[in-house]
Amino acid sequence: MSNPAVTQLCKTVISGTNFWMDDNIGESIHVHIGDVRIDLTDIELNELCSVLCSTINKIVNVSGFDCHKINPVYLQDMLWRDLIHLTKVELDWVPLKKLICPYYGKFIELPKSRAVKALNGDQRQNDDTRRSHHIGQSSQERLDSIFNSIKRNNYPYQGEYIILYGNDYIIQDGQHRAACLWFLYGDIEVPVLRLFFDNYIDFDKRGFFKRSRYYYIFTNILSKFRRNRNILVIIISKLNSFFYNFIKKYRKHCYLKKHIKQHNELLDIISFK
Amino acid sequence: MKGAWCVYNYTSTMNMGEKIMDLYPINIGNSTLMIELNEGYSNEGRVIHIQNEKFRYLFTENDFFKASANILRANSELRYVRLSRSEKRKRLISENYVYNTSTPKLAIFNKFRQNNLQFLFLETVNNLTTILIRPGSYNEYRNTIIHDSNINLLHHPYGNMFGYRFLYQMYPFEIFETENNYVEVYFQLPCLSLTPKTWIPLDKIIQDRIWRFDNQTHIDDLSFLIYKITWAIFKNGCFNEDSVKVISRLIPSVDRNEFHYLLSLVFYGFTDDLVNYLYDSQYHKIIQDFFAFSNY
Repeated sequence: MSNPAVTQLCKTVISGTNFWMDDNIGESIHVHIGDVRIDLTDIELNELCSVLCSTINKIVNVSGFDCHKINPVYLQDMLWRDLIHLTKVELDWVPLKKLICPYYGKFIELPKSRAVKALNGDQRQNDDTRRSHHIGQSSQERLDSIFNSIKRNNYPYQGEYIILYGNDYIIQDGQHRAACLWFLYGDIEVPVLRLFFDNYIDFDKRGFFKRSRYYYIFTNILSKFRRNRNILVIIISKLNSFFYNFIKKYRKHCYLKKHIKQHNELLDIISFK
Repeated sequence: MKGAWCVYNYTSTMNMGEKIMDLYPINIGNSTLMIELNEGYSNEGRVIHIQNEKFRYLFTENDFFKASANILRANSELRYVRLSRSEKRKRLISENYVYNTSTPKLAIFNKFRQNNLQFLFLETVNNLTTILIRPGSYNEYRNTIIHDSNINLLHHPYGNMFGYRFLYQMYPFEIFETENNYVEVYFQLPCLSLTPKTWIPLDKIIQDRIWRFDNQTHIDDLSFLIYKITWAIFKNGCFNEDSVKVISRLIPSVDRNEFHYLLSLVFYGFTDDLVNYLYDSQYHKIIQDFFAFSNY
């Protein structure tokens, strides 16, 4: 029997090959590369992670860079693409009020950022779900856990710094920590890690278009087309899934309109079996 | 991936000029693999070999970073999920519903018997009766109900219509209304997976075992017990008062060794702890400890 207690931990495509990992409670942790599967115990996974961090450090070979102290969520979401271009790592001290939070192409000063607003009670700012959240974690839970961690352990904790690129003040990793620090201590100077890449241009030195929100939208659309160069295939598959979902929803709507009483009754009984 | 799998003689490439350096060894089971940094074949940049004497896997440098980042993220997610799931499932709740031991006498059940349709009663809750039909009798079942004017076919709230998937060739649930009662039909004992909205059948050994007893109208105690336990853990996320009563009543009547064996088909390494908790009536510990279980 396949283990019912399966949780998918990550999923991606690496050069056309599906790669994913899942946890099977009581059995093992599976690493899937295409049609091949490797089974790991909990201890083997921990050891593998430690070795991979050390390996990345050795390959990157930049003084001051330590993969053990990089947030794995940020590493998987963003940093891995640029590691090959990393040239220098510096520790710097910056005042919090100078920091800028990127949000889908917009650049917002830290005191006016969504996280700070949420900490001040505006819950509308905390209603989205992001790739950067843990499995099943809401925005509110994420912010709360970081806030409690900062109060308990202070900043930086376990050598994990807020990360900026080049000489910019745009936060690449650590928006929530910065927001919590601002909320707790106001405008103080904090240590941050600056990463310098040979393919990164500081924000001030970019042209007008590359500083605008439209550049962000443009590069997003371009990256989608790069994955599948056949534009017609993309359009047809989007239309297909749109109509399929529409018909499914319509059928469900018609059924519930006719049988809503029985459906609710059944739900009540079956839910508490 | 580029290069992908390759079974080759390690010694024949040792003297080729591609190798830059050995990085670190990794241990998987009894095997040790070396992560090795190499020059690429042409203009693809550096490549990483993960290899031993018999086996090699190749990554480009970027692909290696991507794969490693995903493994590190997966580890972080695993730690978080274990903590958050066990924290969220500390409850033991009680709900008001009536669990019946007697099954209603409906005309449709007589029709099933007349058509030699093999079925077993699972349970009756309020006016919902759940039956289990032998999978090979699916067509006879459909022929019986489709022509009956007293049957009002419905869509199961946990069926395809509402976004649930049924894996491993499992027949979806059926449900119909007749004589002011609902009849829910399973073709295999189901288990809700932790993968959202996904049903899978319990192990084939459990499924086959159900039908080996002759002249039975109800499912045997052991199979029903496994079903109730998996339902409580995976579907409800708690052991409510009535399921605790049912499980506590049935446990003394089953053979402990066979019970342990069948549970191990579902719960693997957690089975020992689970059996001990069940026999000690420590239901409040089961779900929390199951989701925090890491001894594997």
